[in-house]
This record gives sequence, structure tokens and C-alpha cells, in this order.
Amino acid sequence: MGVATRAAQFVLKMPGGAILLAPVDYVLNWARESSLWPMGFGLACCAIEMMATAASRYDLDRFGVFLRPSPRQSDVMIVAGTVTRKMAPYVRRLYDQMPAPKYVVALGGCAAGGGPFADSYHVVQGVDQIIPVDVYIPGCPPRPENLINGLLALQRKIHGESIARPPEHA
Amino acid sequence: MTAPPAAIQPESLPRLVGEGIALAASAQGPVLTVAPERLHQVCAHLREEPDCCFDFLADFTAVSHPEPLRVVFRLWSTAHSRHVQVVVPLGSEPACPSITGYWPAAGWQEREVYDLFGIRFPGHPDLRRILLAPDWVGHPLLPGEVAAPELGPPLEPTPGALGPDQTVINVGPQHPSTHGVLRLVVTLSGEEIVEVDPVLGYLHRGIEKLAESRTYAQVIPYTDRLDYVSGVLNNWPYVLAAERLAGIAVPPRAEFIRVVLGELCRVASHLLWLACFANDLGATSVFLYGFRERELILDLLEEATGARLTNSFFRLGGVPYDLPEGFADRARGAARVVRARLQEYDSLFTRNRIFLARAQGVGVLTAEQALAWGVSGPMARASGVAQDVRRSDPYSVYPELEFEVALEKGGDVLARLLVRMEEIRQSLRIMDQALASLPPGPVMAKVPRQLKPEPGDAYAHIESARGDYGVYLVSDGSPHPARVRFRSPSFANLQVLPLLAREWKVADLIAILGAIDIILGEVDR
Repeated sequence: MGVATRAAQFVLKMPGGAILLAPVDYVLNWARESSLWPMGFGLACCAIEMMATAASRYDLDRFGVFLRPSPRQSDVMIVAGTVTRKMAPYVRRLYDQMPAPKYVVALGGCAAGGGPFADSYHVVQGVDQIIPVDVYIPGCPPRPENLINGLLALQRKIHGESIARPPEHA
Repeated sequence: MTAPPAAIQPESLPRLVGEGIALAASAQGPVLTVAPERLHQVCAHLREEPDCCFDFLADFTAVSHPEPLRVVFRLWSTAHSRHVQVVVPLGSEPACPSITGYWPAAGWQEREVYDLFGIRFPGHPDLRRILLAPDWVGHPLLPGEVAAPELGPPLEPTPGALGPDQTVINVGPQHPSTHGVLRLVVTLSGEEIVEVDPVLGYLHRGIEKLAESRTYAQVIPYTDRLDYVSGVLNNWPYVLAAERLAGIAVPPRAEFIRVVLGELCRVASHLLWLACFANDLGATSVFLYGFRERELILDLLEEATGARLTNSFFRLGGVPYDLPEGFADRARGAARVVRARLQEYDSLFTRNRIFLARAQGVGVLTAEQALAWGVSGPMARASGVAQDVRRSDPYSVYPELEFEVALEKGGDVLARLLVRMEEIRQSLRIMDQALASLPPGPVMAKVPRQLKPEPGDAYAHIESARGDYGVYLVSDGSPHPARVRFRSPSFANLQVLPLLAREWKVADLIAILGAIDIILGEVDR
């Protein structure tokens, strides 16, 4: 998925070679979507599936997705699991520590809306109550293929962005 | 289902009976009802008397409904292999003398009961909230509405007075080596650990409260989400307790299927532990190897139950489906692969000098400490405590199966690794036997669509991948359980972390914590 093959329409043939003349949006989006670095940050059961997705069989690295241990080095937060009332302020703080542009994937029923614990006294009914979410992935927990699908959806979303219209939370 | 073992009562118990102390018998051992002011007398007797010797605090909780509010705890004697249950009814000013002097394991348990029920424990060295935030108002497991406070800035734990050369560092709740959302407030002198204060509750989902508004069958999927790396091993103690409460007999074929799936989950759980533990110590290749083998086991589990992690496959009265055709052959094939790869792990660990330097003699727990602090499972067996619920208080068809209880004497990080490696081999051996002797017949007993057990209580415990996993169920005769209590081994095992980590370096703290093998879903519930 090199930029040169995907952006064939922007290549100008010149005597002695070719130059690539592409919109800034295109190149920036291409760079961002091709190396998503999520924060390796697990909350509950879904984190185990997130680890499995990063490990041997599903191998997230081949999509340019590589888990980082620190929010300062990440541009995607995968909220993998139940957000409790005691944890919610820290989720928000970690989000604030990430450099922009940043994206959030809500992995599993709990992160999307509280899941089976929605009526509990200590569970936040979805992480979108504290931070903006880009992609919701259903499942309890979602299979690794489902997480990969969600990350590909995020790549498509980034592909349509423009620096002229920055997302509200960036 | 095999009947619970004959509850033999210690001969000296009737001598205790008197003013404020009553004795009754139940299917799961004697029950002592004790007034708070007589509790210490009873504790001393149960701890010291030679025919009692109750040295292991198996479970400690409270029940608020039906009335009266009472503290209920259960002790286990390793010498005599039997339980006793102690009930302490409380008045309008709920206070119960602390039993931490007799069983230090009660320390965190009493904090939890204080947190969730508001019961005070005079004599407790450090009674403060453990799961909920310090500024939480009210006690959620008391009857009535729970008003959740507004989400605000967190109240940070304040460290005590520091010495001249001491600093405090915070590990978690977001840290790759805490295996979830655990927080450790570590006081250091230079690089040496002076004190560790684990802060829990970041994954407290209130499952015990939710269970009170579900029917008996609806609780099963919640159990999977406690110890989420060993699926059906969570279902087991719950269905066992509910079956005891309602008097349901499980068909033999279902029992064997439960054993097969349970042991597969144990293997998957230990492989995941191995992968993460190795990753904590910097051996990333083993992380990939562990997950590679674990996928083979997950394929089998998915084939049989339809889910990879949260299987929810056990039902009240059996299992919903038979094993798929050809399952036994594929399971044996996977077992062959895992056995061969275990030798590879041996060469990566047990003959690796870098690993030995990080593991040998680090974080030693003695057998006496393990029992006193309520430590169970591979943690305890690595310290030479020969306790395995599958042998010491047998359930299901384990008495018919041959296996060795993995045991080590070292009590250090290395011993915990060796015990778990051996347990993988033994689990595969049990699975082979169970598959070979699968009897014909139905897999589900006739169970009413909506269970309404007679008022009463039942306790069941099993050997999960992490230790002695118990469920205490109270019925009030309605279709909803009046109280569901999960005795999770991780919670008890984690309590010894400060004891193990003192005087070691920060890097060793990660190795020691990793070797305990906690799952936060089960610690916080």
C-alpha cells in the first residue's frame, strides 16, 4: 500500500523519471492511517483479545498498528473493557496526555455502552460519556478479526479527513 | 454430581455451645452462630484446638438480606480437610470484632465488607475503603437505592510521612506490567522497596449486586467476566453451589465434559500467564510463543462452546450441548503439540541464566505465611502447601481421574513457574483420561425453567487456574439469589504482595507481581 501505487493519479511523468504531486491532505492522511500506534492499555476482558490480536496468529503489525506503552507515543486509544467510575477520570487524563491528532476506538459492549454491567452502580455507561469515540466495535468480547475490522474502518475514516476541516476534538 | 464429602464435625465443637454460641449441622459442615462478644473465644478454639486446627480462612463476607445483617465466614482445616462456617448476627450498630489476629488473611476481606456493607471491625489495623473511592458515600450492598456520585477529579492516595531519603512512585492504574488496572503506591529508599500499597477497585463492576436482580441462570454469563482468561472455570463454582442449593443431580457425561473443558481453560490460562510473565521480564519471544499455543486451545474451546474467552457453557444441571464430532482427536492433537512445546519453554527458562538470576530466591513465601494469608493455588503449592481442591475436597469426577498435584518447595518466583508448567502437563493428562472414559447418556438434567430454591445457603469451591475459587449463595425462596458471593483466589493472593516485595528492588516487584498471576476482573469483581 505504498503512496506511489495508491496515488497513481498524482504521478506526473517527466523526462528522466516522474514526480509525485499530491494534495497535502492526501499525504498527511496516508501517513497517519498507515501507522496507527494505539496505546497498549487494557481495562478488562477485551484487553485479552486485544493482546491476542497483537500476538502471533493475528499479528497487528502487518497493518502498521503497533501497541505503545505510553500515551505520549500513541495516536489511538483502544478502550478495551469496562470503564468504572473510579477509572473514568484516569481514562480522561490518559486521553488528554495523547498528542493530537488522536482517535478513540471503543472495543466491546462495555466501552460502547456499559455492556452487561450497564445498570451497575460503579460502571460508566459507555466511554463516550467522557471522551469522543471514532469507532465502536460490538462484541463481548469482540473477536480479533472484529478489532482488525474496526481499525481498518478507522483508517478509512482518517482517509477522508482534511486539514481544512479539523475534527472537533483534535 | 458427587455428593459433598461427609461433613464430619470436630468432637470438641459441642463443648463450645453456651450463651451466645449455637451449633447446627449442614450438608457442608458444621455452622456456628456466635454473638460478636463471644467471637474471639470461638476463634481461639477453632484455631488452636488439635481436632479443629482451622488454619485457612476460606471465605469471609456478609449478608444483608434476608435479615439480620450478619458476617459469615468459612474456615478450612488443612490437617483434617473439612470446613466450618461461622455466622455472626449483628445489631443495629453493625460492628464485629476483627479476626485479623487469628487469620491475617482477614485484613483485606474485612476492608471489603466495611466498604460494601458498612460493618465496622474494631481491632482492624487499617480499616478503610478498598474497592470504592475514598470519597464514595454509602455502602452499595446494603438494601436500598445506590446513589452514584457525580464523576469528578479523582482523590489521589496520600502517602504517609516519608523518611529523609525516601520517595514515592506510582505504578498504574495504566501500566503494562500491572496486568490490568491495578495501582501500586510504592515507597522507595533509593531503589529498595520500603512499602507497597496496592490500590484496588478500578475494575469494580458490582457483579455481586447485579446478581441479586438476575435469575439464577442469568448470573452464569457474569461469572465468565470475573476471571476472564479461564472461562468455564468461573461457571463451575457458581453452578455447583446453585445445584447444591436446589438439589440438582448432574448426568455423568456432563461431568466429564465439564472436566475436559475446565482443564483446557486451565491450560489456556497458564499459557497466557507464561506469555505475559515472560514479557514482563523482557522475553518478548516467549510472549509470542505462549499466545501461539494458546490459540490452539482456544480453537478447541470455541468449537465446543462457541466462544473464545467468555464461554458461559455450564448450565444449572449440566452443559447445553454434547462435544462436537471428532473433538477428542483434535484435542489429543493439540495436546501433543503443547507437550512438545513445553520442552522448548523449559530450555528458554529453566536453563536460562538471565531468567534464573531474576527468579531464583526472589519473593520467597513460606508455607506458614501462605496458609495464614489465605494464599491458594499454584502460589501456595510453589511454597510446599499440598492443597488442591480437586484432591483435598473433591468435586465432580476428579476422584476417578489420575493426576499428580504439582508441588515445589522453593516458594520463590522460579517455583511458581515450575508449578504452572507441571500443571499444564497434568491438565493435559486429565483431559486425555476424561476424553477416553466419556460415558454415554444425556448431558443435561431435568431442571425447571425458572429455579426457585428453598430458602437456605450453599457454598461450593473448585480449584481454578489461580486457586481456591468459592461461591457462597443465599436463597430467600424467590427466583433471584438473595446474595451471591465470589471468593476469588486472586484477591487473597494479591494481599501478600507487600510482604513479598519489601526490601527488593523495583524491577523485582514486577517479577513478583507477575508470578502471583492476578486477574483484575476477579480481584475487583
